[in-house]
Amino acid sequence: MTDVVTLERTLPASACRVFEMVSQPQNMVRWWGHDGMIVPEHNLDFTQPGPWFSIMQATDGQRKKVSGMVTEVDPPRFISFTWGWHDGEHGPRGAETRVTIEITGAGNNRATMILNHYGLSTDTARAGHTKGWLSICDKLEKGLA
Amino acid sequence: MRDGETSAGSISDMFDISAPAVSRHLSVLHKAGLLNRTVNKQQRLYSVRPDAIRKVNDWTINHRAFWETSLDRIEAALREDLN
Repeated sequence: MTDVVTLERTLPASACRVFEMVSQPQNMVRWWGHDGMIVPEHNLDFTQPGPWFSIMQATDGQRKKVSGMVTEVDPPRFISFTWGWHDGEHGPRGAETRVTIEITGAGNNRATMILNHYGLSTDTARAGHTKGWLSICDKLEKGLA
Repeated sequence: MRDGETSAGSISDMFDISAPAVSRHLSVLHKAGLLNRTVNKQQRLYSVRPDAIRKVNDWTINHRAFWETSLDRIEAALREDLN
């Protein structure tokens, strides 16, 4: 079973400008990363197909690598890339998931961005994984009650 | 197991798979540092390492939250460029 996370947002800029923000290296560093994390190393550039990676560092110093391949770029309306966490900074790569970004002009200097993250429940993925661990703990707890 | 040490035997009773299979899974989780293991006579007792489980939670990240944050930042950066 796979699952998808979908986010839609109307942004205060033209589709071209949103595309530049989302894809260009000098702009990507302004937004990429989880809350409270820094990105000490990366080669982020979604303007063209090719491999990408980024190291993310949490406040406790723990580092984790995520990498993938930009598979399709159709400026200014579409970007598709693969996404996989590594086991630690240097470890093997886990299950591969896929992200697509669609940008559509909404007039009046606005654009709608739709982000889909597919395949998340396959293995190393999304919030559900956390739930997975919790449910395992719950199951164990119930079994012990 | 979350509340304390539990024997491999009683853990395996909770699952439909065979005891040796459960034992292998527990061994992997132990090697990965997610479970503590102590040996008491013939029994192997397992307990959860809460710090390790928390790390698993942290890193098997909530992707929705990840992208929400990213979109917030994209929006903020676009607004910043307007000014």
